[in-house]
Amino acid sequence: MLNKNRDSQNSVAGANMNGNDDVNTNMEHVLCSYIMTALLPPECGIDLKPDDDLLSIDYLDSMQFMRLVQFTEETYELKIPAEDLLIENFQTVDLLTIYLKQRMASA
Amino acid sequence: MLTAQPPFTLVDQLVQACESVPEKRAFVCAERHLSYAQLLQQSKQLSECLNECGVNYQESVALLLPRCLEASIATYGVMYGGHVYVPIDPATPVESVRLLLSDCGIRTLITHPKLVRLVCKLVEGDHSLHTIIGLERDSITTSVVSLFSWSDIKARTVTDVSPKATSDDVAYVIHTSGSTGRPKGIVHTHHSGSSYARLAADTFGLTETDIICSHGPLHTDMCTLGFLAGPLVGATVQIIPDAHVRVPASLSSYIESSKITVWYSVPQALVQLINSGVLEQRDLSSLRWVIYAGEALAPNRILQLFEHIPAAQFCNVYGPAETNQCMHHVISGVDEVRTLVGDNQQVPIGSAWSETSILLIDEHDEPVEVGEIGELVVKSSTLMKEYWHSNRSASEIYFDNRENQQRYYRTGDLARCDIAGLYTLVGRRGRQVKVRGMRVELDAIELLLAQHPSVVDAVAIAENTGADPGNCVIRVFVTQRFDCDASSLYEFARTHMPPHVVPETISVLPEIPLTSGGKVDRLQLCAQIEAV
Repeated sequence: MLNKNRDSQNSVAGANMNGNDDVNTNMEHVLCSYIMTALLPPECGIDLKPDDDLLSIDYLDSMQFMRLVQFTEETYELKIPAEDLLIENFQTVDLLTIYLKQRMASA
Repeated sequence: MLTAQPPFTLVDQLVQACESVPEKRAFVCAERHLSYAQLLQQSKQLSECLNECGVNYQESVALLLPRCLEASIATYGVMYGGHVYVPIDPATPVESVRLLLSDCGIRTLITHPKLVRLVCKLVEGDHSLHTIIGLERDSITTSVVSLFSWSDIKARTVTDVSPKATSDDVAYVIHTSGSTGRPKGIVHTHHSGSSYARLAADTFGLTETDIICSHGPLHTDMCTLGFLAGPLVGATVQIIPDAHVRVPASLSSYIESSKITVWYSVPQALVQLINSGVLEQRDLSSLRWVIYAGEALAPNRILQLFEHIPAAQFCNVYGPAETNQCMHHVISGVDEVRTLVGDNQQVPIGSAWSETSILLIDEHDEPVEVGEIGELVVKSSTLMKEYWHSNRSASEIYFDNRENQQRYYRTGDLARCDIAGLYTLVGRRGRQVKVRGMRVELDAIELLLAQHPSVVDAVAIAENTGADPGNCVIRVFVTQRFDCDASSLYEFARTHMPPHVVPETISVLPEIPLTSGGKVDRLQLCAQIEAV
């Protein structure tokens, strides 16, 4: 089930965060809540954890996966090149966060 | 080919492969694999477990599975004892799964730990299940069903029972969503299934050196090439894992590293590979066949694939799930595709393969002349036995040809045949609609708009606005390669189409919704129209 409280905290992506841990946690929240609200069916009752396997059968299908890519690009204002569309960068929200941070640091 | 004598059942195929190439890898999925000997052994173990649970001869067993190695044990284990496997789409809402299980009187479910959440929800409500195989003992709280894990199955000792099925027995039932939304159960026998396996193996020259991919989910007929024809020739079947199906650059890398020789998928998967599969960075030279089925693939897409995989042969396969497959067209080379692109033509569906005959008939069931459009009807050794629990009359489903006293299946697809005997699909019965009384082919509109440089995909939907079926409104949904406003698409439509064919609206979508089988989800698009 969706945690309303947590959801509302996430309305601003990556704003005014002190320190790395906070940025991480915030990014994880933003991604998790986007996946739960916009991609997964509302009746599925999944409380997504940052280490859940997004690419297993009952999470994202290939279209939803592409929407997640698009959302990340828009939210974090970066371009994810096709060669980075790899399982190891997208399997979990944890891994995606690590990838995005590297990407932002190298930009 | 392994043997001169064709096997009679799908299980015979596996037994024969096991005799000639027991140590060879039969199925692979990611890092896991099964040899033919292991597959046969575990199929027997599963079969005995089913017998012990009281599953009757020819009783149906549901398979609710992700893309996984266990799918091979499940299909062959169920068929081994003369049971019938019924794969179910794991993306189906839980209520519909329950309905389907009770509709088919299914008491036994084979599943996988990855789907534990779905199965838990399934057994929360009223259900018909007695036995669940494939979940760990403590992973589900229910007292009503007996539970066996995959390791329970593997730990069983087996007595050497011979396979039970005969050629005319039912082997499996596949459900298609059907254009009306109500799933139809398509009943295939060992005869129709193994005929398909044999004809596919002959057509594509499959041998035990092939590595055949299984890309489609288990509940679709896209699985039959790998699952049924693979064991016939003793080939290796690569089940593409769910994660790879979703992530294009990993998918192309999987093709490269697993050295797949025969690719078979819906066109959408190829489009995804072209768009974001970084094909220029991959060595795909192991591919000798790129086979697609289910929908049309625009010829310019095939040109793009030719650039990356110049040595492969490309084949457009046609055949509703009711027929497994019945027609195909092998593209002769890059020149043929260039001509198709230049002439704005579709790839033909070619001609019928052996043991199959095709006719085109008009609305009065009379054969049409060469060059004219008619409904495609098929008679084939690969044809289904019947629809499951269908109340449709035989004359709705079949065309009885008085001339040769033979029964043909009505595909509902409209095609045209040229003088050379080459067939081309022109649309679907019911995809031909009327606007202000004039006939319009929705498929022709899609094809034309797809020629616009910015359009990736176009889907045309006819909306019935009132009581008059002769006056539909046509709405088109497109996805784009680069931004281009709808008015320029309009201009394009207006300059290339007769006025009554120009769509009422053209909407740009971020993506076209797809069914879990990877085909365009027209029902969802219709729902979008109604919601507006």
